[in-house]
Amino acid sequence: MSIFDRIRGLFGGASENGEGGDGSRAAGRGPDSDEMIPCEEALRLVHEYLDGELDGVPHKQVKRHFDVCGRCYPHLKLETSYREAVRRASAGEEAPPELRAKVARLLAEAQAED
Amino acid sequence: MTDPTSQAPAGFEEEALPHLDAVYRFALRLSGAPDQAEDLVQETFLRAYRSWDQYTRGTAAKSWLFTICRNVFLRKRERRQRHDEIVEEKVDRSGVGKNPVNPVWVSVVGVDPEGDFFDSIVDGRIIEAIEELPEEYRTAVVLSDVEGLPYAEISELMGVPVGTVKSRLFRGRRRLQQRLYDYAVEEGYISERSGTDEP
Repeated sequence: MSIFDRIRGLFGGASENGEGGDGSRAAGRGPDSDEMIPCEEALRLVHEYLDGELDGVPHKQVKRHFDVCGRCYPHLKLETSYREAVRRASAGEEAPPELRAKVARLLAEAQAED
Repeated sequence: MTDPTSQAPAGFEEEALPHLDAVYRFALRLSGAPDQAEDLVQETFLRAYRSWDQYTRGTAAKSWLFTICRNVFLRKRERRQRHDEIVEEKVDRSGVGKNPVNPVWVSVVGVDPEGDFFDSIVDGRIIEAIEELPEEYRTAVVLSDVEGLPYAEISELMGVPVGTVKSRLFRGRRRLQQRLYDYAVEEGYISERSGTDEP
């Protein structure tokens, strides 16, 4: 049983293009590894894909779906926009110089006690 | 003036101290208050220093420091309150399915399907929204989305299976995105409109 069969089973035999949509322009799924994953599967894997944590599905297969599927691509972009905003919001936060000095003092004291 | 940290045990200066900013950021997100974060950071580095011989050189020092920091935070919190957030997670688990279609996307599909509104939100509001998340979600989201740790390290750090990490990330991100969307609507960055164009 292929990974696709197992995932399809998990979704209760969802249609190849997800929830009745037809966003996937390459709808055919052949037996080779380049076959197109369905929209619903791509959306379920979007976090693992962006996190570099796909397990059992090749990265290039998910990438290919988002590259060619005009309906799923905005979902990927939305998740990317969210991540960029969260990273940007935390980017400038650095420990205050006084804290660095306190930590240094604390470690020196601990060293002296040893 | 000599740098007192230069006398730290072998490797501590090179491997642990470079993560001071990251540990401070993490402590800030956990505690939500700069003075508490500073206390957490000091205690974290002191504990790390004292147990440095238990750390395997060259492995994930940042994760190791985060683990200590979170343990210190949880112990302090436990003294103040009971596990209200764990209860909240149980309630949430029963009420939220893993619909692959993001509800925020459904809300913005007609006006901003790629989520550009996130760019308009000021840093302080994003930080505030992160800090409003229950600790279990907040920690997972910060460690993954801000610090970029792999699931396996987050799993070890939080003491839960990788599947639970994924679940917390899924729910934490959805909550955070919903909060940021609500804020964007309130502030007029985006107009409220429902869409139905789901794949």
